[in-house]
Amino acid sequence: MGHASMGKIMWVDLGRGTIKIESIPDTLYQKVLSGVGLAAHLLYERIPSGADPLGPDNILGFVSGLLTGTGSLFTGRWMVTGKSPLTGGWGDANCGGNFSPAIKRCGVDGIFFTGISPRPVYLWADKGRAELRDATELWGRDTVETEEILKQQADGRGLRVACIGPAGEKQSLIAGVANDGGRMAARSGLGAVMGSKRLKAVALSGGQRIPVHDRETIKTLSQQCNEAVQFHPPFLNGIMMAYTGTLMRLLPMQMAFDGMLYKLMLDKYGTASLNQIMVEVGDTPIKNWKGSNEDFDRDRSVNLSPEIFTDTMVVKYHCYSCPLGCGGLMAKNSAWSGGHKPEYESVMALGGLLLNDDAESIYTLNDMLNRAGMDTISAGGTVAFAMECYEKGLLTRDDTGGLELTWGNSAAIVQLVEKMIRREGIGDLLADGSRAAAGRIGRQADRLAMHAGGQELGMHDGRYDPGFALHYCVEPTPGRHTIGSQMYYEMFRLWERVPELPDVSLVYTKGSKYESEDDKISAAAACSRFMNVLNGTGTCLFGAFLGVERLPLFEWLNAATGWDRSPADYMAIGERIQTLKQAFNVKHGVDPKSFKANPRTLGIPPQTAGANAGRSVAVDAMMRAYWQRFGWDPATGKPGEAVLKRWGIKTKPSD
Amino acid sequence: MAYKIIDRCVGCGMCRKICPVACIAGRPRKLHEVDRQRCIDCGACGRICPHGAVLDHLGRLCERIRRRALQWEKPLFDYERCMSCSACIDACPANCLAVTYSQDTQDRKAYPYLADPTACIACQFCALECPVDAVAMKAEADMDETQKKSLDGPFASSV
Repeated sequence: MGHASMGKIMWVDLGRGTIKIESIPDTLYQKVLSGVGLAAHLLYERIPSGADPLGPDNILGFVSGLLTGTGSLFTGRWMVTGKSPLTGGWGDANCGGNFSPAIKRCGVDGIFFTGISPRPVYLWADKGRAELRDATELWGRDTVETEEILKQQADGRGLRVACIGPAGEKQSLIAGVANDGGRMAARSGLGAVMGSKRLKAVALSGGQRIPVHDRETIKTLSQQCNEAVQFHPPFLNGIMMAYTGTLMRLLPMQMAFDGMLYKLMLDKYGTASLNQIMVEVGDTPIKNWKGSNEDFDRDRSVNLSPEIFTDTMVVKYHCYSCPLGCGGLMAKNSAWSGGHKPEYESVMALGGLLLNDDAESIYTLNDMLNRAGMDTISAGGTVAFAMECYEKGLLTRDDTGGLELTWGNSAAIVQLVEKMIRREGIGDLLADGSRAAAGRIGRQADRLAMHAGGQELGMHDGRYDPGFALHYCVEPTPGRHTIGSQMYYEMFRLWERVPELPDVSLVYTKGSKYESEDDKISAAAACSRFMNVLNGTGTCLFGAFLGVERLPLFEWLNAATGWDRSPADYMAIGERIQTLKQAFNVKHGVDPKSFKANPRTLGIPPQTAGANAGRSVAVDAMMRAYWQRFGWDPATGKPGEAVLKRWGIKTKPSD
Repeated sequence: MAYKIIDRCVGCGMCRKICPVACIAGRPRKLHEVDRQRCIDCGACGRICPHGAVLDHLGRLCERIRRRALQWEKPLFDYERCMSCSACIDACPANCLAVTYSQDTQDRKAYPYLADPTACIACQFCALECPVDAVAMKAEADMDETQKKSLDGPFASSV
């Protein structure tokens, strides 16, 4: 058996109620790592083409990472994977919390579910045994309650739970999977897949040890990494950051971003540190992507300032093996009912995107959605879509059941989201995301739905950083803000380990961001490859923002596994995984070109006011160049036989 | 790897009761057996066995350590070094660690501590897995007063 991996996976057939263990040879880990790579390999080969994402043939996989539990830092992330009912292609969602090591401590690197259970069940794995148990009592409970009930049965400690809430049960296509008190693996709509399988929860309590090749070297590397993390100089407060954002907007030049700066922001405020500064620079989409910072100026965004959300935090929340702790648990008081601090993405999807600056409503919505197990980004994106439909007369007060869906009407937003969670009235129309809703409304409503391939876009504007626009359109999981951008590439500093990758200039004109050039495509492709390595190892994107000199990912990998690979070798594995995911989409009949995001989000036509006025992104040329960089057909985005063979990917997977 | 019980075993069942992963089976007064697939080499069976009937993962005879005489080692946390990553809590097969935090909003750090001292099996996994070596193991009998007090966590009086 190799090191760092457990060498096994668990298969649970929900239709038959059987559980079996499959051995995974070390050679496969060497080809695709663990985590997303392992899942992509298995699901590409084993989900039959044309399988209904909500049918028995879809496979829902929970995977850990190769570095999880090895003594490395920032490596506690797990993923849920499967065919996405939202995009029709490869689906995955990434989450922190404490579930990743729990999978490995049950002696496996992944747990894969097939079939559909005749009644609600949950998987219980404890002390080397696993069984399916009846979940009738849990069905209908929210994610936090479900976890609490299961933990009480397990004497309170040691149990780690991933579960769906009512949104997943009702197969809302924007439902996710939660763990550790409502932290969500939110994207790709995989909560609906779990609901379709009548699988309420996965509850794990294992004691297995995770084998490590060279623990001492890992510890030395981790301690060096931690020194960078524990650097705490006095830092700007919220309003100073907001003014910094304004200044950054006014300057014609921009500086390459260093992840150490973002570390300081995360350390102090978590992702909420971005709340105002990103509106000011033009990174936050406003008013369903048609507004700008001028519609949500500092006087309004100050109501969502980082301090609002950190002042009521009682303790910082760290995911497993994280030295930074960007999360936070909130105080219980008259306005807040405890739970996780709202993240930037949630605040802005439920805030700026709807012109809503009522922090209490955002806190309420965040808590409601985490408990219901629904993606805050997609929920916010879909409400924004509904509001614009209302404004344009495509939805009327009759349609909304009397709700006045005007911009910023926080009471109406809360009521609408409640309806979406319950699939009640207009909520039923909107519970499957903006693309499905637009299809049902007709009358060209799709023009108002800000999605790529069905997935609502993250709260980072491609008109500010064209890297986001490209990754939204070109990834096998479209619409993601967590894979790449020009700013991410600056922070990853990959050229320090992979010399053939382009360096970035320290200072550049803003206009140069929009020029399509070879180096930008190299950078984007590198982000995708690197992110697959991160997701194969369970590593956190925010850790990677420290840069590869401060986060010794490649060095940890060699020490944990005993392999002797170069960073370029690992990046090649990332490329194989990217090709696998794209081949998955092609196998399932997804046209890569169809993932192009709504033109409005690309600045077509350009905005006339605000930070991104006059900016548009020539994404078609970039998409073609990106596909070509992977050796895929630049006209169609499909990997040909030759490239599949080069990566050892079956050209004709079964079925 | 894995521990092994030899025929000196009298079937007292102490190892079976303490094993954190329930991998020891055996009827009262009969030879007990370790499930080698599930054993995690924590050594609790070897430390508790009153009859010297347990071999460790390298085949060496385990020495009994007196638990009642407070000879079993317990984790002492260096809170200056600790980065609140919870690796220790996850590593603990006996689930005896938890986090605590101050009500003081100036200090929002979460601190691990020995929440259930009687459940601790002295396996040292928390110390082994701590990435920054912030956990030291020491027998309670050898601890000074400050160390003994610190077992209850950094805010012993307020928790």
